[in-house]
Amino acid sequence: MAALIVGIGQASAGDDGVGIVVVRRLKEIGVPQGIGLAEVAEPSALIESHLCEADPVVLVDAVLDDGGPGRLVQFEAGDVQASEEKKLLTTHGVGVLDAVRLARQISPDKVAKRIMIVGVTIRRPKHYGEGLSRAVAAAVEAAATAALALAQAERA
Amino acid sequence: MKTINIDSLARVEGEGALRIRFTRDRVRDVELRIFEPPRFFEAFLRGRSYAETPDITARICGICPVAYQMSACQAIEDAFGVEVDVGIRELRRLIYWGEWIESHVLHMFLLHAPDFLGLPDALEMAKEHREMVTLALRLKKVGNAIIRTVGGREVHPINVRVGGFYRAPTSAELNALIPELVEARDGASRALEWMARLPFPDFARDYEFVALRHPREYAVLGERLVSNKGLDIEVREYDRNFAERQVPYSNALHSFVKGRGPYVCGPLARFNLNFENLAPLAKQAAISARIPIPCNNPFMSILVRGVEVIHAFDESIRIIEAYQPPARPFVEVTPRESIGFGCSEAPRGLLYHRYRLSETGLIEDAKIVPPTSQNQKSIEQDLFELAPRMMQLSHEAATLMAEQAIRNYDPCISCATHFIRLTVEREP
Repeated sequence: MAALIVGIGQASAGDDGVGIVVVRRLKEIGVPQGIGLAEVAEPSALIESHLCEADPVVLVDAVLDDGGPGRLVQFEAGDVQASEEKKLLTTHGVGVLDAVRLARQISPDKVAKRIMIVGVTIRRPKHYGEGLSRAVAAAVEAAATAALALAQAERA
Repeated sequence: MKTINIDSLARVEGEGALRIRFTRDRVRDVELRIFEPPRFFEAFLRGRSYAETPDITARICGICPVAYQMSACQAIEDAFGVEVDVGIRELRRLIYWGEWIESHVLHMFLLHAPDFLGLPDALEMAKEHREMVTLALRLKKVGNAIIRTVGGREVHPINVRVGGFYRAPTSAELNALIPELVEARDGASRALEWMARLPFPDFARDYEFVALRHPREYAVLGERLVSNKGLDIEVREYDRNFAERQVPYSNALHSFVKGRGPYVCGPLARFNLNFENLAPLAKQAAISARIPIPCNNPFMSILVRGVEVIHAFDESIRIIEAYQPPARPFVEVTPRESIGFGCSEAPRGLLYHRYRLSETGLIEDAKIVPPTSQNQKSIEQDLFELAPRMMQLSHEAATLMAEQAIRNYDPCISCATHFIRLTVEREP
């Protein structure tokens, strides 16, 4: 496997699950050979596994944003300045960017050199339940296309 | 007057703040504000079917959903007069050990250990103690594997139902975990040896510890609640012996033992009350780590969690080695008008559920008491005792001490308190 796209989030926590929905959409439409797809609910699961299994790795996650839900953002995980301007949604424990930093700290030789993040902006979830809001659902197709394009471009 | 304010960073599952006010050199008050929303779930559950309860309550927490599922199942089964088969109970204990492992390891190494090392976070810790952080992540992964194998997925398992499980794992599926469990058990012992060398503040108080008790097991599921101050009751007597009071500054209620006051649940309580039922390996590890028995120093809770992780790995191996798939993965239940009580030991401590159900199995009333509510007053009292020491420290050092003391209890605000900000206001 040359490239990996990982959806992060919890499908049962509303818009937090957008990363999972994007990866499931990619499973439906199919991806070229050499690109893997995976889902994780909790970012610490990335360390010493997904981040070390391919290069590039594209992480798809929800991004908290007050400017309105359903927008796409893309940045490289090592781009600290860009990263800290975004609030990637996380549960207890290790956040997505911390997971990447930790992985690079403890397994510098094994971790993918290129880790890209495709974020879909959401408002802070207030309710539990399956399914995305209309604005976030409308961004799934574009996020899937963006993640796939990044995986292919970086692979090339 | 001097005031220490610690503001919070809001997170999805935990928002907290701390204020300590001083008048001259005396502590005036300590307020730990927690904004956890479990009570919303109690109202949310009304009118829902008993069958939905494990899955709905699991959503209260992303780190200990198994605890919510187990307490909910026990309460519903109690209401319907059902007792599960031994094999099902063993599977429940197994998935619970998986949750203890992943929750404890995350807290010990990624949230709490940096405090003892004077480091800001796990990332910095990984620079100086790379091997330990790597080991911790491996241990956590094995805990997650237990939950995934028994529960269907790592977060918010989907295989748990009232009466048991939708599907019992095969022996082959569980046996496949044995090699990594054995390796992880050894790793957990090494981790405890490392933690035992950390510097522990000299601090102790006379707590009332409360935990579940089982005649032979280090109780995670049980029917009796005991304390070191003479409490010995059935779970169904909880409301007669414990109460909660609202405080104006916090959304979380403060629990107390009626007629006495605050109490502590969680690792220290379990260790002090049930030490004899720890696996021999865990017991020996505790002695080697020089943990006093009983232990009244909350800063040493990190060591006790380490002991519990060894126990959880050891018990998981034992359960799997003895495993025979149960004849039926779940016991059928028949709804009836009744009240049921359930209590289990979440990683952070007691988790009590009570449901009143209609004859068709709809929930008419629910009560859920999470461990953070139960420990909240004791955390404040620890901070009250520590406050004079904080007065002598710089802002930065005082903040660290307060955060460390809060994290002793691994409350659901742990992740937020790693980023709390301290401000000090002085008045002449």
